Amino acid sequence: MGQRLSFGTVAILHAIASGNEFGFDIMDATGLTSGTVYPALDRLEERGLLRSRWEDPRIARREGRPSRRYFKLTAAGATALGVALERHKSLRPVDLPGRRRPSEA
Amino acid sequence: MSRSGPAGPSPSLRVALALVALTAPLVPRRHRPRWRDQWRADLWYQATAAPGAPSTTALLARAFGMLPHAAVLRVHDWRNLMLLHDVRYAVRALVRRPGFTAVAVLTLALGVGANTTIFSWIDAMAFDPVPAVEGDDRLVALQFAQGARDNLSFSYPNYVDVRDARLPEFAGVAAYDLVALNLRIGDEPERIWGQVVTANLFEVLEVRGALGRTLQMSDDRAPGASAVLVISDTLWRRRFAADPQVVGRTVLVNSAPFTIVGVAPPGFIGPMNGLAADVWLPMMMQAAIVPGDRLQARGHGWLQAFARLAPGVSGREAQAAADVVAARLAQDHPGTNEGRRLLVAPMWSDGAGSVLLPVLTVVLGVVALVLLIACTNVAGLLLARASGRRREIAVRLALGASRGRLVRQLLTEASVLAAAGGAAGLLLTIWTSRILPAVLPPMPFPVHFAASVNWRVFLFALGVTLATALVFGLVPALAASRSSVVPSLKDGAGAAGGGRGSTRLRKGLVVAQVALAMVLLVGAGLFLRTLQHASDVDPGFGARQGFFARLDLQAGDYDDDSGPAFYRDLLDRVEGAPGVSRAALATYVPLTVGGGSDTSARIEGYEPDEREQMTLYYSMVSSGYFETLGIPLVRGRGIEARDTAEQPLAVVVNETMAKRYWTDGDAVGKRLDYGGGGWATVVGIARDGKYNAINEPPRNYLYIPVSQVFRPDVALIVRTSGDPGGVVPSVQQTVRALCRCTT
Repeated sequence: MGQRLSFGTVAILHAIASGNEFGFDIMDATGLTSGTVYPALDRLEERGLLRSRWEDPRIARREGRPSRRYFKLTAAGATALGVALERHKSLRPVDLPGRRRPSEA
Repeated sequence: MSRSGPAGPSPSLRVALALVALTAPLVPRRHRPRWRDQWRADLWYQATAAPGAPSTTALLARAFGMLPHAAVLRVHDWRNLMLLHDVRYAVRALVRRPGFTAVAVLTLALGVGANTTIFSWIDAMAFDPVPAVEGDDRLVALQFAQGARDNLSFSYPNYVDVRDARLPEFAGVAAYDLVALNLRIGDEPERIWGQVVTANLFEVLEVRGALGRTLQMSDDRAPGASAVLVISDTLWRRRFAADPQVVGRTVLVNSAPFTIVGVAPPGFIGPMNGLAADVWLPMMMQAAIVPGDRLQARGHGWLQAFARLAPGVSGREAQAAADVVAARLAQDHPGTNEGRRLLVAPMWSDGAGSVLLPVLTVVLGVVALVLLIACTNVAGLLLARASGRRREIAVRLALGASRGRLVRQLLTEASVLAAAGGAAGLLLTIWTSRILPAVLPPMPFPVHFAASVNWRVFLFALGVTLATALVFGLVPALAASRSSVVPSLKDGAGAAGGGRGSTRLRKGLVVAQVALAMVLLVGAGLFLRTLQHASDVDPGFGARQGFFARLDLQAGDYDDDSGPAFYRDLLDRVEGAPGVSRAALATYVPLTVGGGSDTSARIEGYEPDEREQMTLYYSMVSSGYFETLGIPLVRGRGIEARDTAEQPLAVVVNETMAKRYWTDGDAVGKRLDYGGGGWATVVGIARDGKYNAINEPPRNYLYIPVSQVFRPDVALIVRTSGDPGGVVPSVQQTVRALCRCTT
């Protein structure tokens, strides 16, 4: 693995771990654009952090639409996300002008 | 929009799905089915089944994400497939044949280098017209034009009116004139170039002093009130050894004391394109610097003006504003401004760029042809080399390489070759971009261009290199990949032949090369013919042997009495020197760089049309001028020693002018008034000649005796009986012994 994950990648892994399994769901959850999310999904699958599977064609056919592609975290993906989240924990809440810290709310 | 599946796709979904079909061919084949299925499914789901389905716009916005997705996959594919591997292979193949590689790289380096060098010069003139000035792309030259004549100077009153119109389109308007000066620091006099400038010039240019201050509005309070100057960084280093205490020191400019108030930043040469000044003096000190009082006469144009455009103002808006000012000037001062337009022009059109840019553009066209010849040369080399590689290519084809793959490989080799040639050409340009002054003919002006390899020049070189790679690489690559597998494999000897198609191509390349060379040859021949025609044109003067030298008496305190007396004495002595047959003085020598002057005029008995501008080109000349230059007099007499200030004003006109203003050209004895100085009598008619350019049409011309209207800046023209080279030292000695002027 070795390589550090970018914020965007961590957000995508996090969205998938939270149960968003389709491309557009992941976009909605992360706020990233399709031009960012789709190439990232390919890359993450290539690196073994994600696994994709196609929906059962019979279900799709019954509903009159094409089969969808589902994404799931692999064990390596789960570990990488865990490490990344641990690292990002160091981002402590800060005072911002006109805002209160969440902990003080 | 239907929320249940079987109802079929909505119109927006149809559009999105059509986009999928259109984009799919961009995706590499091995990714395509998965890519297409995923996008179709997700778009379908989003449009029909997802909770909170998006609007049409949102759906299409999401659908457009497929384009970057496809592009990423394609680039990734290329990276894997081609680039690294092919480049490595190409470099190895080129290194294996050092002779071929060296010849090809050298040929391309010279072609790319020549083009980039010329471009770097054009770049320095057109894209960096005012060196060391931030935002010089917002500066525009302002020029008057009338009828067919353009680039007419500003008089000071006209400048003041344009400046004080305070148009919102212009953030500021300034003016200047380039003048030769005599600078004396301590005991050492030196002839330098300076600019008489309006005090707001540095403010309009947004230039601050590197040391001390620049000129400011208070320096233009009243004529003669503020004897201060700003010096250039070059002068500061050369004459003051970069002394930080230089501000406050006094120097003599044309014998008048001036105090240095500041040093301009390094690289700053003033606002004039390609002509470097070393000092800047306030406009109100004009009388101490250039002869006469030029601040009052509206008809006397001598200044170049420019403006800084206000933020957001376009060239067209600026021109519209200039039209308004020109109309107002014509209304308020019809005598001098009727029919005059005010043009907004690029900064390079004032200065050396206006002369050099058109020439360099033609030269760029010529060197582009040379590059094309170099390309066909290299293409021929590549083709010959490809013939030698037929076996290798056949083996690769036999092993399953596609022809597209082979073309890509060969094009990569061409690109590597072009990149090496381009890089070498760019390195060459770093040196050659600085040699422009060395290739220009000698000019009596401080020509200065700070050409260098900047990002524009780099991009140009890159573009030329890429185009070169395509031009010389594509044809041989296509030809090589078309070779037949079996004969090439069976017959090793076929390697030398290359087949009929390849031969035809090689012949084609030779034809192209010869054709291009012919174009250049014909072009060169036409240039030679033009030169021959030019030397056959009668310039109107017969002198063929002699020389001229510029004199500057401004440091010598000569006035209207002592000046003409000095000239008489000088001419007597020079004519007495061995080898000199005649000598004369003139403010302007025909067909030399620098242009003539013009003056407003009134002709007795001639009523100009309402729109006719009465301005005449003129030169101030001494006695013996027509004899020295061999200009025949058609009628009357020339300027003679008797035409002194005490005598009635005399002038000589040329034939064109005589015919233009007097019936039957009978001008002798008639009167005219130039510059409002009173009636002068025409004493002779000289034959027409060429004054500014060998191809100019006949024009009116006036000769004024310099013995009646003294001018301290003249050229001494010497006609010799033998080789001028032997006479120059003795004339130089005579001049030095006689005057305190600089030559």
